[in-house]
Amino acid sequence: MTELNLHPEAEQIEAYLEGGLDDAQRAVFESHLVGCSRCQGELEEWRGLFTALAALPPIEPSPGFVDRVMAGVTVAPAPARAAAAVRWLPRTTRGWSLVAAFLALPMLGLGAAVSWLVAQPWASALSAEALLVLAWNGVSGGAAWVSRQVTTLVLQTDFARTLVSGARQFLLMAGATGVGLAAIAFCLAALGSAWILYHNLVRNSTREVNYAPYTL
Amino acid sequence: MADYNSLSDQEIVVLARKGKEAAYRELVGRYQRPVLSLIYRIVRDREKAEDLAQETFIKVLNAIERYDPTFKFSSWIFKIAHNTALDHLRRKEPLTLSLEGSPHATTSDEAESSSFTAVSVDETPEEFAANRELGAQIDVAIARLRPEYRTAIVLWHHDARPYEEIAEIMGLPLGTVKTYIHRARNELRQHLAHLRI
Repeated sequence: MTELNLHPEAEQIEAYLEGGLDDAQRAVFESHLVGCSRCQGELEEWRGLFTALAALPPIEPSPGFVDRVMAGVTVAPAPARAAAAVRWLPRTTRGWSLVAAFLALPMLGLGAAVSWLVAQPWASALSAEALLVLAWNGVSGGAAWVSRQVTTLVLQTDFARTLVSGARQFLLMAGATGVGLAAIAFCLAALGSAWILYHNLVRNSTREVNYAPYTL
Repeated sequence: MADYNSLSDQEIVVLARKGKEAAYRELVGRYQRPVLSLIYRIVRDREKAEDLAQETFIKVLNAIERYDPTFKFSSWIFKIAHNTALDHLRRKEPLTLSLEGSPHATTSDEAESSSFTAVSVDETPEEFAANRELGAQIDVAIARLRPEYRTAIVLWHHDARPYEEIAEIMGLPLGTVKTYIHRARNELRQHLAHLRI
């Protein structure tokens, strides 16, 4: 229908009943209807079809339908707390390797210390318990010594001196509140970094997540 | 116990995934009539439609872990229902449209309720008009449409689904769905012209 005196096509009548015409198109359509009994009849026929289709009664399922469906359905098991904890475990071989290596380091150190102690001539006079205590003390003492040495070495570099000097100036200028805020910001940044590392190194899933919304 | 009536489909699905049987039942309760109605109007066999609706729900609920909540649950379940009904028609079309009703009917009442009142091209309007119930005649007219037209017309008019969702459900371009519905309406008007509805 391009002009007022032309009868609307079926698609336009359908669009009118669907509410799919814009204001201008609807105005032209309704203007034509006012003076065209033929199109009024046509519209009423279409409206009758729309009404009849919308009024089709729903089909009621027979009694027990839900139970018959449920008899064929396997209800997903409720996730246990253990299952929730499993979500934190690594999913990749590389992730498991990193975790295993991290956990193995102290054991390796302890094993090396025990081996060294057992190899000593005076060790034969000690009980196994005493050897373990000695080994543990040796490992923890050694770790503390290593960390002290590393800290000393780091602090002796120019870069560290610059950092320490800057930190002193910051302490003097910022005061207690500024230091607290800086500490919070540092902690958040550290946590964020750890989270990113964790997700990229440990939690980087190799499983394909493939949702198929419309297929089974 | 959660008030399931006030929850969205997506929220119910989340509960179902947590192992809540009541959530599964709620989903069946919500969709049993529209799914059964759609399938019935495609296959035209009451007993077979219920079997297929049951099959649809079992498929959907057993695959609930694979549902992507970013999509409408209704689109997903109607898609499965549509495919299940069409698969059945491809296998059983001649039997489904039997004038004698369902081949599984054991009583005359069952056979009558599942029968398909086929209207031949030669049938006079007077004979056709002898079926007094308008709804039944519209159902018969819908049954004369192509199966794809039946799905489109029922989803638009009966279930008030928008064109876009029907396109998703049927896996067809939007324009094709609009064409299907337009042609289906024209055919229905011709089939029902004698009624002047």
